[in-house]
Amino acid sequence: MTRSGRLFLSGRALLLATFGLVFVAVISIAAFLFVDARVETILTARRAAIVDSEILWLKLIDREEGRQALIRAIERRVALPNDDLAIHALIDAQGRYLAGDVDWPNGLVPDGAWRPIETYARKQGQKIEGFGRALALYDGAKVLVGRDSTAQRDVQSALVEALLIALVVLFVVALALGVFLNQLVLTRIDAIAATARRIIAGNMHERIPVRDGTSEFDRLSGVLNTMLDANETHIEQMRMVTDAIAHDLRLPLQRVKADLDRASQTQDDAVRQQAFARANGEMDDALATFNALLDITRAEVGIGREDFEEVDLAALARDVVELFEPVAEDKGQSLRAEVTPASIRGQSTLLRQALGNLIQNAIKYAPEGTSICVRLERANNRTRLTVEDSGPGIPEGERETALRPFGRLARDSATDGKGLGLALVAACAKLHKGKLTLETAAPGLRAVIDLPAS
Amino acid sequence: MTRRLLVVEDDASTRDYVANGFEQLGWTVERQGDGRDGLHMARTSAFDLIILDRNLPGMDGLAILKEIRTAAVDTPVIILSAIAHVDERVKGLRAGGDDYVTKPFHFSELHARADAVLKRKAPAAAQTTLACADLQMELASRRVTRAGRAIALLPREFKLLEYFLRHKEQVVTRTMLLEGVWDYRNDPHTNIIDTHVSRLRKKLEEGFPAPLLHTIRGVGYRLSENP
Repeated sequence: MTRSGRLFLSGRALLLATFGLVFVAVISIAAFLFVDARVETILTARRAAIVDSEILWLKLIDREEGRQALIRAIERRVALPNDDLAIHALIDAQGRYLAGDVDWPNGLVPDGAWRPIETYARKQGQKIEGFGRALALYDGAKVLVGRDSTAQRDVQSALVEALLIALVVLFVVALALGVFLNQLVLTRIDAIAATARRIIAGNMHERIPVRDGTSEFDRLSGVLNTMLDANETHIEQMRMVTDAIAHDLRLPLQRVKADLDRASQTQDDAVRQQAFARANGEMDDALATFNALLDITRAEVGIGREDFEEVDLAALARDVVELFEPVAEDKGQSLRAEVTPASIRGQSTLLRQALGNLIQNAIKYAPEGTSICVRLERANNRTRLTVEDSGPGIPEGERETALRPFGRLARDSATDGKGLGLALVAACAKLHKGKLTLETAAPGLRAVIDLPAS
Repeated sequence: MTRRLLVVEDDASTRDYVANGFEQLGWTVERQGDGRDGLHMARTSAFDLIILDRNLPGMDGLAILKEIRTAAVDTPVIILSAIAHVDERVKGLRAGGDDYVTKPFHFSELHARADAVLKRKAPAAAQTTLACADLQMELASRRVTRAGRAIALLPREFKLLEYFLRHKEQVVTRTMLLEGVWDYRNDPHTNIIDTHVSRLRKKLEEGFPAPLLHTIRGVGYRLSENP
């Protein structure tokens, strides 16, 4: 494949295009044949009716006015201008010519039936083909009236010619259009392929060129570009997370190593016990960080949706509030729940954990004597689980950072959490097709888990 | 009567950690490092408890568990696993496990859970009253008395006490309380359980000379009339 568009389609596309054209041609010819047959049938019926009345009229003349009158009538009829399609012949009982412009066809039975006729013109002697009726008169003489179909075949061949010309034009135009469209499509496909190849080569910022945004290709390119944006963001976040994991696990491991070193070198039992206890605590911290990250990652990529069950959010909220109530009380804060009945399909454990994290944050960051309210409400097909405190809140500029894994804020001291609490809540909201937002509750912080009601 | 334990775990260090722990408690312990050997032993020999790792060479832990249950062996099984997620846990319990302990764990946690599982397996009649020493709990009327004197408990304190009474004389860890009473799987790393327990303890023991709720340092609590 080259960067520029190719002139011709690949084998399969060419086959398909040929098949299409042949199909169109076959349909055209079939339609023509059908119309032709219909026209033929109708015209033949009309012609037969006219010939029928004419021959009856001639028979009438013969009977009422005599043979000579008939001969004259036929001669005048033959002499009429502008009707070179008419065929007439009259012979006596012995087969001798009496009148008309053609010879009596060989072996023609005068039974009045509509039959094909093959004979020769009397004047120029050329062969004439057509249809007609023959009748026997009272004395054994025979009269024939018919129509020449040579002219009709001329019309037919003219039509066939026109059809062939139309088909050739159709082929040429279709081929030209095909090449043009092909060119158009291949150029765009090659552009997409080229972009993809540059991205594979590591150039993550590459995007598919979009022209004026109206064509199907622009729409497709737009969607693909959005996907590429999302992927790049994910990869970027992943990189930040792995960096942070490396940092956050290396640090406690380093401390554990130091503690164990100290324990192995000292003779003092008390010092050794102390070092062991500290190492144990460090390991617990590292493990908690690790578990939280795994939970976040799993929720982020949507693992667990297949295990969703009906969760009574009201009961869940009351349970979690009850769990944390004494902790808030110890800090002189009031923690209360205002819930309306609501249930969703979801993962109860993760939702519990998410609400717990929000409450823990509120307890931790709001000063003594403040109040914390957990609210569950339903409105407009949404279920909103809100934790609101009357503490200092988070400045608007820092709210986005707060939602990111390992996002640390100015309010956090060095010994504070790892910045995973809110990230887990956000991931949990996302897993349940909802969203976590942080708002100001003037002055406190309002964290809202906004979920679709099921 | 000595209790018999089967430990199926491929990591030698973890296997010895568990086995030595139970041997020090006076149990007889069989050790197996391979899944198929473990299954064979579980089917041919009687045990009081099986501790089963999930990831084993030869045969997967859950497959072994299913085989054991299919063979109508109803020995209690505790699953050990490095996979901590809720859905995996549910899978383990559905396969016929009695409890699910995630690695890394401390021996005291495993021991407490083993006791709880063994106690649960013992046939218990439908109880209407739970008691420990002079402490009584009537489940239907939700009335709690000590030495005949009524003790007023908040709903959460009642639930907590009920859990302790159902695990009387056993060591109960903080994780067990979080899971058993509040259905909360991740340790929030606060002294939250201690706060709950100390409030309950205050109500149970104020004005009475004998303590009932004992703290087991570094492990958890035990409800008992004996210190």
